[in-house]
Amino acid sequence: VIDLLHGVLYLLPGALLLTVAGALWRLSRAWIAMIEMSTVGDPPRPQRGPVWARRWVAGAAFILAAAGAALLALGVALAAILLAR
Amino acid sequence: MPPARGWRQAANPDRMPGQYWAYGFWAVVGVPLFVAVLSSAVADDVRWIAALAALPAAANHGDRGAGALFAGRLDGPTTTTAAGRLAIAWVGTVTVENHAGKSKNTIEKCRLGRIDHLILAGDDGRRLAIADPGLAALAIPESMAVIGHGTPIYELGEAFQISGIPPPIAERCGLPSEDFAKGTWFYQETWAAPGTHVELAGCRMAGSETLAACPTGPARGHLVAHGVRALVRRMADRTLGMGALVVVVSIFFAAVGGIGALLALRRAAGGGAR
Repeated sequence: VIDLLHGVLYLLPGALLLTVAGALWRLSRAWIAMIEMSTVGDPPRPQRGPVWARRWVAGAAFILAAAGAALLALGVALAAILLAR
Repeated sequence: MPPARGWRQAANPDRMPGQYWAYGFWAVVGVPLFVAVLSSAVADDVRWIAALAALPAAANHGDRGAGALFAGRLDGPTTTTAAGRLAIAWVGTVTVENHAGKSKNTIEKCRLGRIDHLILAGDDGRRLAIADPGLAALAIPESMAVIGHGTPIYELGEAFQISGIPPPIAERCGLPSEDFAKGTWFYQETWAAPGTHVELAGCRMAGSETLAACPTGPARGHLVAHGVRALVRRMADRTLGMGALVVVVSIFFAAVGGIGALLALRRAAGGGAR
């Protein structure tokens, strides 16, 4: 039981990081969609929002997801060692 | 007065604030660094932990030369530790902790104890002598690095630590009293009471009834009172902790920039961050 609990705990940090990366990505997509729905100027044209921010959110989500996947892989490896016998 | 520059500037929302280049640089540097550290140090640790966890029980499979776990009760002549406990085996260390600014270093000044003439009264009824690795050869405290180096770990079951060195122990160690004026001094003692159940990860020496460290592999003569599984768990905990620390450092810059960019998107979407 102790090994099983350890195994589950090892998966949490990586899973949490992947969840944060996913939430960051979905939140940014929602706000980008809201930007694109609004218009500016006369005649009105669709807004595009700050491009640098889009790139930054995509990059940060990718880095967080990569770090989360690596941590999850480490957690899976350690949990597999503990639960092997 | 010129307008303030930065990500709060509303006049030119498409212009990336200057400090983001710095965050981007560290994120780009941090991630490869994280991958390098994780793939070298941590992956090596995981291999050693897996090898230690995979050692077969000698009672079930016998020792085929690659090492096994020998379980039983510790027997041998009883002795009294420096702190006055009755023990079969014991190790006491005197350490001093010196602070230099925010960093501190711990130095072992003296090691006392007795780990010779130990017998493992096996759960299967056999009595096997345990070869003395020498007090100086033991790894105290245990760490992941010593498992990789093949240094034996002795975790004898009972342990305590006191700050300040009792005069009889200072005398046994030959430490003059003026030495204690600098730094914080500790005495740690670990001991195995008579009849303590232990596991030994090692090899049975050919043609004899003696257990010793294997010449290669993970079974380097570790003697563990709470079982090798508990040792494996502690080592796995430390490895994940180290991996998590590296991740936290490498994602810090990505997260700071990501949150700032998200707020900028929110403002542009009319969410009203200001």
